[in-house]
Amino acid sequence: MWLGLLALLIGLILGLWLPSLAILPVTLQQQLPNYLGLALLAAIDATLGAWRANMEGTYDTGVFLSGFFVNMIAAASLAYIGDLLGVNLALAAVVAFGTRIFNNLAVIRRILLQHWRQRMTRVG
Amino acid sequence: MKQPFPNDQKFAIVLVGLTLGLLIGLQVRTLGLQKASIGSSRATVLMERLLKAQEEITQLREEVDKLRQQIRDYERAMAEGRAATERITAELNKLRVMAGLTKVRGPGIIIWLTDASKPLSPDNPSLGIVHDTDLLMIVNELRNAGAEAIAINNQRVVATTAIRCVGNLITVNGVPVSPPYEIAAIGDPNKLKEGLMMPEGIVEQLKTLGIPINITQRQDVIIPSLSVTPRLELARPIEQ
Repeated sequence: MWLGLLALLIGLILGLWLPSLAILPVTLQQQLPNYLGLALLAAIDATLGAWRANMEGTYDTGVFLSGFFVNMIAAASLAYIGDLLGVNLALAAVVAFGTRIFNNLAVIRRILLQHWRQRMTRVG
Repeated sequence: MKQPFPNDQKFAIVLVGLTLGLLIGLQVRTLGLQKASIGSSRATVLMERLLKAQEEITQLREEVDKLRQQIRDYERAMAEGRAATERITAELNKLRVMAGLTKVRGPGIIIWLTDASKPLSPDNPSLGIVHDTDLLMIVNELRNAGAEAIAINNQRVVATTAIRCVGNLITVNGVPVSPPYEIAAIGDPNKLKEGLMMPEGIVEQLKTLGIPINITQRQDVIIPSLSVTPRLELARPIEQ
């Protein structure tokens, strides 16, 4: 758990520091957030999915890792193809991932609530 | 939930944590940079403008190059043109002198002659008179000696000049001239005089006939321009 948080922190610092190097051309820097945001959404979705799977006892590291990276790349690519075609495919990704994020959150919340109630009855 | 994670799970957690952190950091930072510099809604507009401006710059650079080349061409042409103008002006001045279009001055001689007051033989009075042919021969001799400009009684003698007898008058350029005749010539004074004084030359011949003739060398002879404008109606130059 702490290892994960530490990795997150290091990644965060790295991410905040990299753009200040100004390696990327201005035009790319302008478009980057559009795709990066979608990839981020996919990553959050995969992480929440893994949490839920872990709680339901169906967690599989291979599924989690592959889903994490493939979804990320797929979401960004979808947005890029949508830009090329002039269709806002990014919206589809946002809706799909957003729905799943809320679903997963709901399931996690319910399971957590169940655990808490069980513990309360055992204590009580 | 509290059980320790196996190694592959640790790896997954670290990897995912790193990636997630990197993405979040990048996103926050780039968006922050955009908002800090310009309103994000204006960003695309400004980007378009930037691209257009860059395009314009390349176009204008090309135009500058083209115009610089043009300037070089014009400068070269101008330099050549100036040299050509000088050549043409020099040529024109020379031709104007030769055509008798300008008054000229220079070293030369003046020949003075008139009809004999007492004819040598009373039966042939025309022998003591200065004829058109005499003047023509003098002019011819002067030209042979390198005369550059000639005038008879202030009538310029040029290529189109006719010297002929009309009745008992001599006309030069169609203008009557009468004795005493004064022939002025510009050229090397010595050469001109030598040409005229040749043994059995025209001066000797005239002297034998008793015609008063007098040659003076001068350092400054002034010869007027042609009194009539030569006409040029039929002759056309042929390109070589």
